[in-house]
Amino acid sequence: MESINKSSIRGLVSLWLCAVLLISMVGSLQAAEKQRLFDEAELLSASEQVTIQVELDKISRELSADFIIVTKKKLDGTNIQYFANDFFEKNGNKNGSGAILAISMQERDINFTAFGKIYDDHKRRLDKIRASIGKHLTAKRYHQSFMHFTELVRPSGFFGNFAKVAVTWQPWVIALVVTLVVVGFLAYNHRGEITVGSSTYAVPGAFNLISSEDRYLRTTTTKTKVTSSKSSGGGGGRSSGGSSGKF
Amino acid sequence: MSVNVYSCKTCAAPISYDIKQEKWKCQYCNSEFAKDEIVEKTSNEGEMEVVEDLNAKIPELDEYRCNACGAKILTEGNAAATYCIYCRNPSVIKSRFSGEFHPRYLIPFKVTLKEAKETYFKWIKKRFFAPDEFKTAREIDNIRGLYAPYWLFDCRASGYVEGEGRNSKSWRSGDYNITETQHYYVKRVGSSAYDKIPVDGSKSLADDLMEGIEPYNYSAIKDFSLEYMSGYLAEKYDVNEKLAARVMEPRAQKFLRSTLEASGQRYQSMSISSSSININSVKAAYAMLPVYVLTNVYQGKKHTFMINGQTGKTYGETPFDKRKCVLFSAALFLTTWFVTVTGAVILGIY
Repeated sequence: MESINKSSIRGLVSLWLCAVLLISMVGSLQAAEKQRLFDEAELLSASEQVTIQVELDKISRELSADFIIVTKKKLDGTNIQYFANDFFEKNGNKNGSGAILAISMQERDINFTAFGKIYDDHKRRLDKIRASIGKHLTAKRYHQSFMHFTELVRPSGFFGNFAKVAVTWQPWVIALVVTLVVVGFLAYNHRGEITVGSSTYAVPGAFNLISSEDRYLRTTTTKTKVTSSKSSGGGGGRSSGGSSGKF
Repeated sequence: MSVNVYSCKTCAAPISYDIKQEKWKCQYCNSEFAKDEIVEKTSNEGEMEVVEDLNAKIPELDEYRCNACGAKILTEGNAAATYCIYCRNPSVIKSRFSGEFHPRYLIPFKVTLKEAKETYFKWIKKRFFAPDEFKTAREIDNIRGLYAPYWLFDCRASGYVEGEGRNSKSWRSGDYNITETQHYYVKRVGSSAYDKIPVDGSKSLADDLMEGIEPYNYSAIKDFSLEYMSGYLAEKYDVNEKLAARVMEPRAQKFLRSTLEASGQRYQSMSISSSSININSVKAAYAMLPVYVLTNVYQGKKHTFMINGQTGKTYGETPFDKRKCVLFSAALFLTTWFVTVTGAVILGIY
């Protein structure tokens, strides 16, 4: 009895261990999601590759977008912008958001392209991001430059957004109008207030409206086209844009 | 020419009108007199009545002798009540209130000198762009009470206005905003009557400033009597009824025009293309109305402030502090800009 019991317990334990192992494997597979770093030029060590892949996964999850880095030894004449767009569609997504950093060592080409809402966030600073990463590449600090990419694509935060809004014309116009209205009111009020109106000295009940005529003349109609202020979005494609250069 | 001094029955010192008590008060022995009591007294005085020829050219400055201290009092051509600059003894130049210069009405002072100063002070503090020097107490010592000569006009006005009235409505249809405006020819004919439109009768008082301290409350209007002038400055008119009527007429026309515009059917917007208003049955009454006048000099330019001596309403040529205005505008602009940008970032509208 005892031996049977022991063997059955052992069996149960091993079965349980197997299950835990399987589950954890599936879990780790899920955690790895999909490949986001394609270091075909072999610029990074194995451990560096892991840290970059982890970073890319993390930011992709956070922003629900795809962030991809691809390094090539050479492009054989392909335009890096075409290559980057193409690569992102294959390994990233077709309709969602994201960004890709593409590097070709032989041509010393670098391209940064953003899609969808990541593009909307950064459309004014595509060149800046590309140049900033390019500097690290020139200095052969590859790991650092890829880490830098994962930082730069994050939304710009309060001060970044502040800078973005500050360069638009609307706040200037609003401030100008408010200032003119307030200063105008204070200046108008400068001498004092005139309170005498048409009824101040009128003898009560003396007003007599002898006749009053209201004759319809005409009706005029104006028609103005409503211009939508949204530049893109909705419908077919997504917005995207890239910046290419040398490092 | 005689100078009237109303004297105290008890001690014979000069007396002047006390606003709060509505009585005449002796500053020395504190005796108070009602109006009838002093009338009697002065008529017993048996003063030398010298009639000044008011139609003759009035000299720039007249000279009187103060009855209290004997000093010479110099008055300007139109001064009708004044006080001795040495002993502050009030004097009333009776002849300047007689004949055609005899006022029909008077509104007594209701605001004391102290209250007038406080009123001015409060008022000037609210003038945002007034220089700070103007808000300091030392500036308001040269405030003085004055009975200003006024013409009060009763008149009738009749006429018409015509123009175009417009009503619009807008709606959206597909990709278009459509605005439909209906145009109407509008004509209003009517008449009205006006009672006691005031026009100041002094060249030295600017019409626009005097309009600023209107209206007076006519329920306190009294028949004129000389005693009220004691202790104040007063002037006789140097703008006659005819000239004053020319100032009054456009005002009455404006009153009727806006009343006509506001009568009958209303429109969202209205523009008047022509109007004609006649003023008739004009009757004028000469009156003395109380004002406090304050003249300040700022950067070499004179600035006059008027305070209604009955209601305390203040109006004036406040100097404009440009530096203050520029600094304030810049600060307001930057603050608004900063708040707008911050707000847009926080709310995510950009």
